[in-house]
Amino acid sequence: MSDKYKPGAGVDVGTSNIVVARQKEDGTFENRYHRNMLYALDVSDEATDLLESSNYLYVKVGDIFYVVGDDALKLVNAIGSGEVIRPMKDGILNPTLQESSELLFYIIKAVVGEPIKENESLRYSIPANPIDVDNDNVFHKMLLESFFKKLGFNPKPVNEAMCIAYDCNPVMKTEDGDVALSGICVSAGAGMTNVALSFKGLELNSFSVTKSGDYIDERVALATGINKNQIVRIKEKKLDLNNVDMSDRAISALSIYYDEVIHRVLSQIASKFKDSKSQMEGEIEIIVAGGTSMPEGYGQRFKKCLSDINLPFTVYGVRQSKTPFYSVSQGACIRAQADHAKAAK
Amino acid sequence: MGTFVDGKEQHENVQNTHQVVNTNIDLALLSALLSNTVSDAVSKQIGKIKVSSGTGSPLVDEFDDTKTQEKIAQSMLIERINKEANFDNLGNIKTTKKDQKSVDDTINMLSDLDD
Repeated sequence: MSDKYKPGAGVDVGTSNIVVARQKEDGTFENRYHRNMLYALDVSDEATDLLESSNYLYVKVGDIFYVVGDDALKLVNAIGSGEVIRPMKDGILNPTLQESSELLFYIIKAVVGEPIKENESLRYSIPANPIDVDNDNVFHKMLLESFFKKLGFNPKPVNEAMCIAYDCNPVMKTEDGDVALSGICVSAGAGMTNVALSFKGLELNSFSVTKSGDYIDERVALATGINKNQIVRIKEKKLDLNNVDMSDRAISALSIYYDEVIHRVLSQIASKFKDSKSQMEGEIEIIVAGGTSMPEGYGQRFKKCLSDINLPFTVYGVRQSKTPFYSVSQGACIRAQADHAKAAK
Repeated sequence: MGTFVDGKEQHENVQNTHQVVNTNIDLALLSALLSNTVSDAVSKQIGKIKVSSGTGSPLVDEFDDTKTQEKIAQSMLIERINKEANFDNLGNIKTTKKDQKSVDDTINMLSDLDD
């Protein structure tokens, strides 16, 4: 296994998904992803039969089966009642779920695997401080660092939105030529949207807002009376923001809330980054990525909303990541490889 | 008490004076009640009051609690519950291909940066 990958692992510990990226020796990136959800089922003969016949993955703790990942969502949709457990909330560990936090670490370990060499570099994504809730990012960072150290890695945190810069390389155009790794990166996740202003790979400024994918799902469920898990399915399977069927209640509500969430992010960019204007002496590019940016037409919708806002920068383009779901993990992996290269210098 | 002029008692203007009444009052309780009442009234007028030192700057707890947080983080990683799983590894795999020159350029640039 150690010959297969280049040293340096990137981990996107997201509210909705855990994604681990490694680059193989042949240059391809291998992303291992797992939906960050659990569904609790009391142990019984019927439950055991169901899990075994369906090949659902689970962890048994005392008298409870915790069905994990996609299987948790499949099961809750099949049963039509109950709620999935989300071990993370608003980008950080959900402090109210004590047992599931221990399960979360068990699951992360099963997704990340072992280091390929002693003290292998690893970068794990962390959100920027949110502007709308009082979250303890410092503790979250410390907890993950302790956890990855325990697994035998040399871990360091990396801002989630900066990972998008490392993966997609935004370019600023100046009179003197192009400046690499410079621009605005938006990581639209489930629990949060993270935004960073990058200049030559350095984080000049960053923030996050908690009204993101989960917020859209919750508001649409409230507005339409449709179960939130079904809304998630509709969003992932049917939503096309270029082609909105306004006769469909769920689709039209999703479109309206997407507009709100994008406008909120752009307004905050205009407000929070205005003091950094002097350092960006050129026309910049905005890169969008993350699971919430995956519906068809998200990039065009973002551009349309951008035309309503006065940003402190001249923006020459909005680019959607070619691999929006994997940009954070791949960017973290590239950053970890740079750590390895630096140590070898 | 007033003064006597021509055998008649003359009273001074007693406005703004109070009759002294001796009662048994818990001074600590009285002080707390008064200070709460006053601070409530003031905060209604000017908003919440920040406790300040003599120089007027807010009092800040400067105790470094990093070690406490580290210990709490480590204590949260102790496995306290027995778990049996029907898997060893988790996750689906998706491979992607990127321009290797661009990746190498980024790695070179980042390897010159501090954390």
